[in-house]
Formats: sequence, C-alpha cells, structure tokens
Amino acid sequence: MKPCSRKVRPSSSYLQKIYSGPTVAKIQGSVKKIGNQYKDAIVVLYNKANLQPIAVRKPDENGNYKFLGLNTDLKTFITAFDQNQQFNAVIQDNVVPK
Amino acid sequence: MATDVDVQYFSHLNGLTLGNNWGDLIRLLDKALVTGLDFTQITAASIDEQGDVHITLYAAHNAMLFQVVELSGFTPASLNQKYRIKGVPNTTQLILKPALDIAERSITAIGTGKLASLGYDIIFRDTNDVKRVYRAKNPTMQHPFIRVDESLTSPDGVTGIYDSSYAKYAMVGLLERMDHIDDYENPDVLQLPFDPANPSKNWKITGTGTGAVRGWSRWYWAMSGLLVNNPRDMNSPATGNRSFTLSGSKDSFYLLNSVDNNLQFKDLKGCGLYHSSMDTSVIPNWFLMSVLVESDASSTARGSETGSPFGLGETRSRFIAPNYLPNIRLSNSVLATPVVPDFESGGNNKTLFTASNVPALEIPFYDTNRFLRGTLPVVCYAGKKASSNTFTTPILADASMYLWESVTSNYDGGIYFYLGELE
Repeated sequence: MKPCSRKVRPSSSYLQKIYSGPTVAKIQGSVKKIGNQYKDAIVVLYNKANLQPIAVRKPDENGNYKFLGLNTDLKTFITAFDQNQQFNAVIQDNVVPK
Repeated sequence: MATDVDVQYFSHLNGLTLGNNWGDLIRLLDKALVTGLDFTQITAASIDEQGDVHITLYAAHNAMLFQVVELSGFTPASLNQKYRIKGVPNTTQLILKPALDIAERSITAIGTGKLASLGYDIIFRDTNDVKRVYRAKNPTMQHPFIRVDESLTSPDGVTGIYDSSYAKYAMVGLLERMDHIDDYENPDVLQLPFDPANPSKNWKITGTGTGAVRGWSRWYWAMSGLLVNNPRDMNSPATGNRSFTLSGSKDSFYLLNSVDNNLQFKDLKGCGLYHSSMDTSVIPNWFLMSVLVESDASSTARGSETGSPFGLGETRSRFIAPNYLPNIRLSNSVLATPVVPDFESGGNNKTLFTASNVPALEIPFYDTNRFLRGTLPVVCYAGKKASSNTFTTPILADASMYLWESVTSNYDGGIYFYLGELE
C-alpha cells in the first residue's frame, strides 16, 4: 500500500492582495554586479500604488529572479540589496509586469 | 515553461444553462464533457514576443480566466493545440498561453477556437434523447462507463411513472462494461452503486404518482427547496437558471450546482477515478458523489447520509466507492468519509491556517470497512473563506491556478478546485 497523499497545494507568499486579472503577467530579471550575474542579493518588489512591498525573493544560482501571478495593470519598482554589504542597494523604477 | 491543460472548467457564467427543464443536465454534460463550447468567428489573431496568442472574436466570448481553449485550422500548425486563458482584456478578446511553446511569431491562416471539453466520448445514447453513457477518450481498464439517465417511465411505460412536474434529477452510476445503453442487468459486471442481489436497482422506476420511486444514486438540479431541507420530490421545483461550476479532467469530474433560487447554496456531485493508495487491478479506483436514497416522491428522506460534501458535517459529506474486497469482487458498494480538518470547508469560522493566501488541502478518504483508500483529485478543502463571491471565481497563487466556489454551508463556505500550474 502506498502512502495516501494529503498534499498542501501551492499557495502564494505575497504580502498584499494582487488581482491576477484581467491579464495575468509576470516580472523577471537578473541581478548583476559590475556586469556579472550575482546571486547574493535580496530582491524586493514594491507596489507603486501604496509603496508597500509585494514580495521578497532571493535570486537563483545564476542571479535570475521572477515574480509570477501579477497583472498588466500593476505599477511596481524593485530594489536589490547586496547581502555581502559591499555595494549600496540599487533600484529599478517603473517596472510593469508583462 | 509549459502550462497544464488537463483540468478544464465550465460555469453558468459561460452562458450555459441548467434550468428547471428535463434534458438540461445531459445537454450540459454533452457540451462540457464531449463537444466543448465553440467560439464565434476569430476575426484577428497574433503572437506576441512571449509566444502568447492574442485572438479577437466576432461576438462576446463569455470565457473566463484559466479556462482551456483549443485552436484548430491555423497555419502554422504549431498553433493547433490547447491553451490556458491568461488574459481577458474585454468581451471579445482573449490572451492564450500555449501548452507547448510556439516558435513562430506570425500567423498566416486563422482557424477556429472553442472552450475545450474535458475529453469524453458519448458511447451510447437512446432514441428518446434522455439517456447517455459517457467514457473517457483513450480509456484505461479502470475508466468507468458513466451512465446518466433522465428517464421518467419504466420500460413497460405502465408500472413506473415519475411525474414530469416533480423534482428534476438524473439517475447516475458507473459500470465497468457495457454493450448497449440499457446494459445494466448483468450480475457479473461491477457497478457503483451496486447491490449484487439487484443489479438494476439504480435504474428502476416503480410505482406512480407520489408513490413513484425513481432510481437510487441521484444528481438533482431542480428542487422545490434546498437539499439540506429535505424537500419532497412531488413539490414543483423553483423556476429559473441554476448557478454551477463543472470542473475536472478525463479521469474525473465534479458538478457543483444550486437546486433552487438560492444560488449560493450548491451541493457537490462527481465521479471518476481517485488517486488510489491500493492496487486497482481487481477493485477499480472509482468514486461517486450523489444523493444516495431509494425513496418515493412523497418522502422527505434526502441526503441525510450523502449529498452535500465538505460543507454540512460528516454524514452529509460522505460519498461512495466499490467495496475493497478483491476476493469477493462483486460486493455492495461502501460509504467513503473524507479526511478533512473539519466538515465546514471555506467557512467564515475557520481559524487554523487562515494566514495563507490559498490554504488548499488535498482530501484523502477512508471507507466503511476502515480502509484508507486514496485521495480525491482536483477538489481541495479550503482553510479559509477565500472570497465573498458565491459563484465560479478564478484565483491565482503565484503560478498555481484555482477556482473558488460556494457550497451549501452554515458558514458561507466553499471549496477550491486546483487547475494546475500556469507556468
């Protein structure tokens, strides 16, 4: 007899409610340090409408990050903090999910 | 990354009707399970830089986020496949994410589109157009023949007559083998529900007037009051269209529909294959959610033991499965009880894990004989009231697609249907 599955289905860790419609969209990008992909960062996605954070992520091994389940009407900005504290945080403004 | 397109759904919001009319249920099942729902002419189509397909239709599409669309007749041929709706910009435009990535970025010939069916065939139908036998396309040995019967009279037309003004329901059951539409009397063929001493028990109509007894496993869609209030079948049903969500795949499906004008109160029905934890070669992994009662039209005995899963306590949450007795294969079917934190899914009284955005928990079940049988597909217990909406509501959690829908409940409860991953 195999184990009887009682999986918890995936949820979202977003810190505020984001509607997925009318068109679902995502933000994806990469963190770079002096032109090279960089993974030791904390990336924070903010909602421009209320200046509150939507989500906090670490990039993958290659420095890439993505935020899924957003919508095309959302206006955001992104900050990235260097976990090694060698560089100041950087900001990318007016990021629109596609 | 590819998007999951196995689990489809339909809703009254698509313009499909389930009203106080005989025939409405099998015609809805024909569309949802077998044919799909055709779009009007596609007047424009393009592919964007992400490989998503944008289509414009001649008239309103009535389609919803995360429904599965099937395109055909397009050039290049790579467009002829299934998609998830990822955008509904307006009533005539849709943005579609393909199941398989499309390399091309231009379209040379525009074809047709539809909301895809769940993937079943009609194996048998009758000349009076009141009965159907459905089965999954490309079935495995376990896939059942699903018989849905809206007949109102016994075969002789005299000994059993159910008045057409009474409550509307279909007799529904699963069979492992059939050679014609009325092939349900063979005692060597397993059914669900099943009484080995009386194989035709689920399909019999006996008696007349208020004493008529019609079938055993019942899917109601038009009653004079809520199922939970045990209305008599002899009382005329409320008029008007019902609200509903039908969701599932070629392996199993659920129908969650209201039965009167209280559109927020819906009772879950469903059938097909569950994810079994035990061998299924002798005893198939079937489940059936229905009102299991053999009573006459004047009776108030309705669904006290089955009929309203997940919203109204343990006994009403039960459904049925074949008895797991491989050495006595043709046994009476048994009751199945869901393993859930409580029997008030999605109610406004939840406290356990309400901080999660989408607290969706798979539902295993055990049977009368204390066998832990397996897990229900698609449907999930809701750990909080996900929405004040009491109709089909798509929800996205990162890339995970769900529906929220209301059930009959003392706490405005509901359940999730898990549709898969968008990417």
